[in-house]
Amino acid sequence: MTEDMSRYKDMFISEATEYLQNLNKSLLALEKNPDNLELLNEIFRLAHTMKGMAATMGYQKITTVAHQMEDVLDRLRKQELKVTPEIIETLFKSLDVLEPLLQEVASGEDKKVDITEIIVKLKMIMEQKKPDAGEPAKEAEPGTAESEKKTVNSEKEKKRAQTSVRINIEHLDNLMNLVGELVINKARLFQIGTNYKLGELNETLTQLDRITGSLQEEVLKTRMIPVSHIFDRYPRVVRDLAKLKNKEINFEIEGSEIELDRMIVDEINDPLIHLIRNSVDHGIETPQERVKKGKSEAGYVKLSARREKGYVRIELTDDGKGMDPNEIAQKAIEKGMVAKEKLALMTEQEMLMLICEPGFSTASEISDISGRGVGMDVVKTKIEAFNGSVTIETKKGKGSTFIIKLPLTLAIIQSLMVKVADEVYAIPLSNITEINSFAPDLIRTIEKKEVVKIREEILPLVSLREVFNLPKREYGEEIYVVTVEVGEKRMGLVVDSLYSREEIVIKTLSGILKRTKGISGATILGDGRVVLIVDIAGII
Amino acid sequence: MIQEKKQEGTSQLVVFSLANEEYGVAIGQVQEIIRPQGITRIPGMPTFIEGVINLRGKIIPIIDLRDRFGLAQKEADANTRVVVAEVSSQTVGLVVDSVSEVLRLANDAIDPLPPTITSIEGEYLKGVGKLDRRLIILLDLEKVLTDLEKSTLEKISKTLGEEVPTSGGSAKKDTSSKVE
Repeated sequence: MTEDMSRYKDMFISEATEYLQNLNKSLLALEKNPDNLELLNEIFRLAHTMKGMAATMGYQKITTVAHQMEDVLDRLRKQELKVTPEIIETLFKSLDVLEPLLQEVASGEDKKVDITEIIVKLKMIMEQKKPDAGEPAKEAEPGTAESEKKTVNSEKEKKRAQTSVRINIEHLDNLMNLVGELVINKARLFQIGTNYKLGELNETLTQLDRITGSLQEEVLKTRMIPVSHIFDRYPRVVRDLAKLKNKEINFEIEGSEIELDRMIVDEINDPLIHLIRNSVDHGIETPQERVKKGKSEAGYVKLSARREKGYVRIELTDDGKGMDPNEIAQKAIEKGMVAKEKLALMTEQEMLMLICEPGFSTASEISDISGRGVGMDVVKTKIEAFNGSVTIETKKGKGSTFIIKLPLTLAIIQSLMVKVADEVYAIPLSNITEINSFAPDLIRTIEKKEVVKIREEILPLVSLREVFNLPKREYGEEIYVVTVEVGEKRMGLVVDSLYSREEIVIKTLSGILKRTKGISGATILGDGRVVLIVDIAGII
Repeated sequence: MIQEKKQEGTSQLVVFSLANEEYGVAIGQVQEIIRPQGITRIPGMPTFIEGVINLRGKIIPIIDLRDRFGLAQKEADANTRVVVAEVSSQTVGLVVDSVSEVLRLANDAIDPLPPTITSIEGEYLKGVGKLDRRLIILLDLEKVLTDLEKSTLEKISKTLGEEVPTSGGSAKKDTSSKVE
């Protein structure tokens, strides 16, 4: 029984969270469009359902708050009250109370969330008089008609919703693992077929290959969720912050239907919120400043997502102050983060990326919005932790764009197998920009470090043997250099030989192996051998 | 610990040998015993971590118990085995000289550990079992593992500190040498 309840609890939480998000979304829309009855009805319906769900589960506080909201909304939609900014603010506040209440339910601890204040506020609204006692009855009619239409709509929605089921992410992970095993074993069979020259087996395996391929794709798809899952929260973030800072901001979202691995979506939420806050707080100027500069009073911030080959590209653009690479570099020197001599060698992009170094903050005064918790360095580390990258484009006075590139999934990647000494390592293809081989006499040194010039660009070289504490060796007639890249950093990895290109299933190392250096995980090859995956971000 | 087992009367142990001493671990903690093969080295790890192996799709670390306990090194031979143990939801393989048998030991025959009886540190040991004229040292695998984890982390952070100069200074090796 208790287990049953806890299962319902999980369901309640995930559904209620969704409702809360939709409430936020609709309220935001209502704020811009206070006369939209359809929206009001939608909000009313959401609050009503939320109340019902909470009451069934016996969550008193949530029920009470939702109930009061429902009362207010009911009067609003019946046009007994007029939608005012104050009322909208109070409704937003109610949502802000509901959120910790939900967390309370989720964690099972009493977080002592106080609901009396919000209840009093909501009740005060209820006591307000009708705006115009004369004509409410008439006005209400189209409202009810609309709401009927809406219920028809929502019924349709319900029917559609029944074609999907909620699944615990753990099941999906298990499925993913099993498919991974299947892929490995398939590769193994291939090997046997080739070794023993069994044509018939290999033919069948080609078939199997196709099936496992589709299976893998399908399972991967089940793990994908649209970025709207997190994007939908941001209009509220922007609105609140803009209000607080007395700024006017048009916030636009594009491509929220783009799908990403669930784990990535969850993980990029904090970094994105940080970037958005930065844009609103530091990027966009105050209306007065903007007018002085001849810009429109309202700032413009746009968050967009789109698919690129094997990647999802997320961009956050603002038309605010922009940044000056030289100013940033100057600040970095003041803070002793970079030596002056080094600056001369830096590209503009590298200078810009200095803001992602720990201990750097461009805002001269640290505000409570951007200055807390996660800094740009955390943003960068977090994105790079799953093989993503961050770059910045900016023009002083015109605005900035932060570009985040993310892999679609974490579980299966293409990689290049390389050999050093007797060991084989996998390098994720997503990190590789090119592969070269050349005579060792092309190697030059700068400050005793080996570099090579490829198409007029200086590429620092690092031997993978050194990285992994293997004995050095004299270069032969040719050396193989794999150029890898993380964000804006590039380097050439010297390997003994190139092996093959393979699709690998990543297995994370845990327990006593969780702190490996330069290794991000392992995989099992077709012949059963364990091969380690090079953590490019970690060694670059 | 010993008292709990007294109720059942006997404990079942997997007995293996390390440098001429006999050790026992509770059979419930042992998943299987395999021959060491296909070990992939992990760079930058302390020496007692020999590497990882693929155990039916699962990647598990292989621990060299001799190295861990500070005993003399020994080349793997035909008797060398890996005891795959699952302790606190972690699976590890322990390299031992040989595995001799599974036996039942009356709990009365287990004594607390007299100090200075063995060559390895006392904290990993639960007690000593006496069987005829043999002495079987009972290992506390949980302790061994938590300790392993701790010292692995320590060793890694140490090498992290040391590695900076190596990678910087090593670039000079054959800077201008023209190998043909």
